[in-house]
Amino acid sequence: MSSISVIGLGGMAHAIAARAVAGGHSVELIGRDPAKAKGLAAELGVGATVGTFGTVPVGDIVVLAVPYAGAVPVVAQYGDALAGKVVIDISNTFNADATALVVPDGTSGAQEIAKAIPASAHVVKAFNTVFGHVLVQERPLDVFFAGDDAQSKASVSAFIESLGLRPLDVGGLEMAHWLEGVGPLLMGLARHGAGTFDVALGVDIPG
Amino acid sequence: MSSITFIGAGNMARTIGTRAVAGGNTVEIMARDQSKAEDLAKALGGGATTGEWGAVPAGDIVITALLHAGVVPTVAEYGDALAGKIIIDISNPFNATFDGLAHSEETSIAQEAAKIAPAGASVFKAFNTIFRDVLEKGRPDVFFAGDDPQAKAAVTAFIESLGLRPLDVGGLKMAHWLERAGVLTVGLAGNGIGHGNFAMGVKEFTD
Repeated sequence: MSSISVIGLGGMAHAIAARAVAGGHSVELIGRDPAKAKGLAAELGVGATVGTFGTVPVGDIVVLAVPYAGAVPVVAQYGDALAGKVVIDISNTFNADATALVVPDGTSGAQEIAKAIPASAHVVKAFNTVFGHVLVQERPLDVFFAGDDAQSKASVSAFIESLGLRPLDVGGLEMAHWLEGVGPLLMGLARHGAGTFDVALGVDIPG
Repeated sequence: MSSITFIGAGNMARTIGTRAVAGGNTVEIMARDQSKAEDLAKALGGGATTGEWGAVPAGDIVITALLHAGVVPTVAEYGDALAGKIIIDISNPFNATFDGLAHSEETSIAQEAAKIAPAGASVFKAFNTIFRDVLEKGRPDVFFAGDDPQAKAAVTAFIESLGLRPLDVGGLKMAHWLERAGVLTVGLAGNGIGHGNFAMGVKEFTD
């Protein structure tokens, strides 16, 4: 198994890190608050370490698990420290009441992040269609992902599978725009037809 | 059971119409080409009838089974003939390359249809996230959006009568996100899944 770095210490960071540890990866947790990072690492147990915010992450795959409002500033601050990395953007770009996106038409959070990272790094959009509190329940779920670089996509796909999840490639990074549009849809389903946030979007493939 | 009118006699009218007849609904077909309407009504059986294009539909629920570019002009052409009706728009307004939408992302075909629909009509979006083959042979989840609570109950009952699970995603402005999800299904079909024999759905976790 591989070495994964997670930037962020919130619910999604916790959920992905926990599944990654369970999947046999060594996981580096990185946050601005080292005490909080240590606490989370201790909770996750063997396989979890703490990294220093802003320095070169240990993992080849770096999960950027911060709210979108902070995502571009964080990668800008990292700058060349992310050279050669596969950056997984998990953010949702919807507004406070999940009725609109804060990113303009024609782009996406993932594409904006891609503009801000070194040319040798690649962004893959994934996990934004999954609720963190569902992800942490260790169920098999579908994880949609999008990206341009074939090698990066292959490694992200393998990573997702190693978490006991089914990776579903939706296409190039420009498809991140449509994946981010699923965010409000999932919120609408949770609030209306499903009536619960213990819900996951997926694909039924009968054949 | 419900009384349904299809405006349009194409593949989607045939597919939904077949399920509607099987579900015990009364079905009427309207098409510009009356002979096509008659052919479809005959093929559907179950007492399916035809109506005259532009006349008041017999059904309480009117499904505009048309290509997206035809939906708003047809609702306009029908005008007051649709007063008091529940209008279900099933269209996908894809662009020419099926990787985006043909209209501005601030709106949706369903919302545009609602703007010109007569008084007392209630517009819904439904079925657009499902490939026709899957609708014909499978048991896909049916996402829908609309504003009027009473009409919503009628749409829910109709979808259930087709042997399918209705999933309310919220008010009509959510049609915008459903149309975006259409683009995502095309991305999945062309990439990770590699074919169109699948449907997006929702899992609710109650255990």
